[in-house]
Amino acid sequence: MNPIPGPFLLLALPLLAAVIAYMLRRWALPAALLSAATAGTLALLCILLPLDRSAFVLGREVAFGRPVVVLGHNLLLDPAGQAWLALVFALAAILFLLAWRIPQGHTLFPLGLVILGLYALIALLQDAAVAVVVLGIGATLTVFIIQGGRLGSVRGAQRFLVISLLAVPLLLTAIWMGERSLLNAEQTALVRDALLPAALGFGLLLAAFPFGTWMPALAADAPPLITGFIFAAGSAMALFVTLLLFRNTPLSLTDPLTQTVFQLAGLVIAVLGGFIAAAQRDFGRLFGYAALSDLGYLLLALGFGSSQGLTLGLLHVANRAAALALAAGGLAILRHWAADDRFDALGGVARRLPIATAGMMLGLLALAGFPFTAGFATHWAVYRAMSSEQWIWAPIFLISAAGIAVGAVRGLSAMLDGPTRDDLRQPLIASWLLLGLMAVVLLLGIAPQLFLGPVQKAVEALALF
Amino acid sequence: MEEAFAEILNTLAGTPTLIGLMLTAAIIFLTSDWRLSLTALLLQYILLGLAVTRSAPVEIALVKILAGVLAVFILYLSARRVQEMEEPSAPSQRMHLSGLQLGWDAGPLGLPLRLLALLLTLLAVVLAFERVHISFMPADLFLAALWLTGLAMVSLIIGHTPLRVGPAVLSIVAAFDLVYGGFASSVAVVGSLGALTLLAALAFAYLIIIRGLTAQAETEETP
Repeated sequence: MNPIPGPFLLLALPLLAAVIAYMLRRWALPAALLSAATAGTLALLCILLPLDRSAFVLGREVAFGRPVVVLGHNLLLDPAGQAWLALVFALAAILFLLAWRIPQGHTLFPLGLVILGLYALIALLQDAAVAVVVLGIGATLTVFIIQGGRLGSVRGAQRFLVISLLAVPLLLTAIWMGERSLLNAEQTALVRDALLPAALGFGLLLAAFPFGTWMPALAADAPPLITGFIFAAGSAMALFVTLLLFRNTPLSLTDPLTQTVFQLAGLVIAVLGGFIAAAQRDFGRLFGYAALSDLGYLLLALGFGSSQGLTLGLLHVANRAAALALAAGGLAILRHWAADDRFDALGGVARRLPIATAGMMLGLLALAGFPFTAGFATHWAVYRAMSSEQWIWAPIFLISAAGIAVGAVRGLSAMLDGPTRDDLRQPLIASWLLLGLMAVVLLLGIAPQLFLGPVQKAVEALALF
Repeated sequence: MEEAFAEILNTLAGTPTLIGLMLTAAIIFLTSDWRLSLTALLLQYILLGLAVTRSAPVEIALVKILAGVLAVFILYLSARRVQEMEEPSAPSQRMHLSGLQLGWDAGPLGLPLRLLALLLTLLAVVLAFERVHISFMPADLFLAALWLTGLAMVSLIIGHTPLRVGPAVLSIVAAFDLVYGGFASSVAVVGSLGALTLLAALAFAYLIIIRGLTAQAETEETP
């Protein structure tokens, strides 16, 4: 019997599970377990299965690295795609489990699985142009889980949709210009010109341009676990597509102009995000600005224009995913049980929901790059690299990080004030899950190199330097 | 027979299409009546399909028209549903002309403001057209694409409801499709852009419904 090709498994399993999850969507337990099991299994397959040979899974031979041709497109899993998918599937599995106890809308499980299938397709595609459109389709579907049938403001979902759709033409233009310059030696100037639409498109997807367009609005309006998924997995896939663009076109991360663009965008959102976070009055927006500021460090790492910078950036993507999931989980419990996330409406909540409060605080501190948390190592590496060029950056970054901490402490102070809310009860299973995530965030603070192996393999596979 | 058809298509895809695209984009931008706006969007998709025949096979143009028509139909159904949900309100005191609010006090939908924005956009588009030259597509189509994108971008800035933002974003994607269709060799990208158009329309329709239901719930709660 022929071995099962890896791409087939990665595409078919989530889509098949999505159909079943749709039928089970009114029953949170089976739908969540099915979705989490599917995502978790796929994450394990990505982590464990070799790409260069077949392996046996439950008695069936699987050739994970074997390419598949679909409609003339070669679908192939390389080590970069493998690392990305392992991260995205693992993150999704955790968030699906949390969503079992903290309802995020009936559409999350089936549509979440479909979106995972689309992410798998992006990782398998070698054609950057098609990958960009698939990313746009994924973002469009995400709108349905952001709103999830919930009445109220549609601002977050609408902004996310508009920005994602606007990014597609820009990125396609950049790819076309890059490819055209490859074909025609006389049009090398197009490479430089391609940087503008690429920067605008990527900037839109990551909320770097215009500053903070959709991230804070989404964090304020959307269910927190879905926000966490978009901030971590959606941004990771946007980064993957951008790196695919750099791989398939003559655009280069080592070009001084590219480095300047990345560093400028990174500086602006890292610093401003932190400063604005200090002035927030609700945890949703605080989470949005903290995540935005943290994203700035990723851009700064990419702006170093070296394989070490890329390794640092990708390590940051992996470590920040844990921090985002933790902060999102804590916020989700608060919003669901306390029915609000405004500081002035949460008086006395911290004493009744201590684990959710602690989880959210730890997640926010990790996003600020606090020592002994998942964000510290990469933040510190960026501080050192930047301040070695100009010392002034070190205090600016520290003040910006302190802004997030100030926002978190203001929130905590409000939650400790006032009479204890006797109507609240600590959710048992969700709290245990959150404790697990807290352990992961602290573990990554002590051993930030935990994901270094797969990250280095991904950097080598991308072959950008 | 085929030659005659091709000749008619060529004639239609030239200046008439260009003028039509300019007018429909202006109507989408100026009107506050969703019926007029969606009808103009429908016409815009048909004209874009006609324009695409100048650089791509008729089959591709048909697929684009079909995707556009379906997208408009999806938006139309949701807009009509929302209108049915709304209670009949008191007749507006503002002056109207074919869905155009005429007063200065009509907020972002007021005709004077929109006319002013339209003129400024026209100026910006002409300047951009003079400075940017694209060799691989006819200049008139490039001008139309710039016009559509310019007006849609301004619409995005001054509009905030899904029923206004949706057609604007779809116009931008369609304008890009017009340019991209001239040089894209990948049928997969062209096809997936059609799918993206449909899904985007579906997502905007969903947001329109949610917004309508929210407004209805708020009205019911108000004593």
